[in-house]
Amino acid sequence: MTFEAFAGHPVFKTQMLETVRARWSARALAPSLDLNWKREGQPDSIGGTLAETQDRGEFELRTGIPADLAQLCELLIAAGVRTSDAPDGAAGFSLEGADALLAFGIEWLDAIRPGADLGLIVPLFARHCLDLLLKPEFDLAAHISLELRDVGFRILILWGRELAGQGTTRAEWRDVQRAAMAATANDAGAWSYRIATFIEAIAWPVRSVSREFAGLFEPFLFNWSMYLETAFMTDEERTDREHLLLGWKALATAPRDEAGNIDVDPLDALPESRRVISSDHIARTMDRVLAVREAARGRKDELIRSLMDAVLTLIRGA
Amino acid sequence: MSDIIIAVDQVNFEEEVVASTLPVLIDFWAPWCAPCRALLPTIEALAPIYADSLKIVKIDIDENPGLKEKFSIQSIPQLYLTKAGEQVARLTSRTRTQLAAELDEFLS
Repeated sequence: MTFEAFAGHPVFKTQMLETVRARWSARALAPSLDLNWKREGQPDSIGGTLAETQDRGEFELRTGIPADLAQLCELLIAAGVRTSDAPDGAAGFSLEGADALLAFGIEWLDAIRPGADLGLIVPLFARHCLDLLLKPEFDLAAHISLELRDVGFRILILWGRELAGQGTTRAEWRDVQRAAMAATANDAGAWSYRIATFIEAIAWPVRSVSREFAGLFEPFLFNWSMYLETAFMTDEERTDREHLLLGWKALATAPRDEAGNIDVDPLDALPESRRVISSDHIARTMDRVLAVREAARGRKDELIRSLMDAVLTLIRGA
Repeated sequence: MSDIIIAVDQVNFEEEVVASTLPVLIDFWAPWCAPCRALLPTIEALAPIYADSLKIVKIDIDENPGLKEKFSIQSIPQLYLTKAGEQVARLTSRTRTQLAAELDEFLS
């Protein structure tokens, strides 16, 4: 599928951005993975407002921009800003964050050349992210098993072939998918669970991953951001954070019945995880958690801004 | 892509699900359900891969209480593999890779 941003007309782009620009400047839009436009109980999102629709097909038809790209851009903003209820404010919520992150709300739209085909931006960004996480200097590199790393490289090679216009076969992908599932199953690390599930989920041709990418990238990015906080923690807090992650993993992977109930509480086997997930522990440590989060803010903002810059570079190159 | 996934209701259930010559994967969902919306791209990505061996449909449980009751749906999203309108399996995976592995097992 090919796209033609803003139908190739600069005037059309200016007109479409007018409302978004004004409402974003007034902090009256809330970035979201969903296209929110007049959705009950939800503030409008940037993409929803741009095309005045909740429908992906309509969005792409009206803007000439892949909905996957809008979703990715809003995810990056949402990851870096804090949205809180403000019933007395005009928008009903308040949006806070670093200026450099908030600026991206319009920057990515301004960067689009009318007529550009942005169909490959998300696949190329996906390749950029996989490449990043396989680098030795990646923040969580020490938590990636050799088995998982090998799967990552195999995906990267197949994606490279696909993006170069060469074919890949279903059999090749099946092999990689089996290896990815085995690597995930063998993985027992606290920090690596989200990385393993991310790699397992993207073990498909990169063009076909585009539609799912923002939703898959979100928990991975959250995990990455959480890891950056550990530099500001005590040893005890770092250990507790690992117990928390192991508890979350156990709860997320426990078999559930059709009503969503778990037969055997997986935290029975993880008393330390149960301790740190308890409301008592959460209440007792809340001040420190907030202090650590604030201390790590600069590093997390830097990470998100670097991802935003990668998207901008790709958009400008299209 | 969404066109590949047929919206089934009480009116066309017989034709699209019961009379289908292919096994049918039913995605029970509702518009207000965020996990359902998150799962949809995964289901949509599976549809072309299994186009020859599987029909994929979605049923909005709010709009179709009769079908919700027929399948005793207690929580969503819920993925049921059916043959001739009867449930043969409940798929519990939520990534495309694992769902494809589950489907391959049932369809082989």
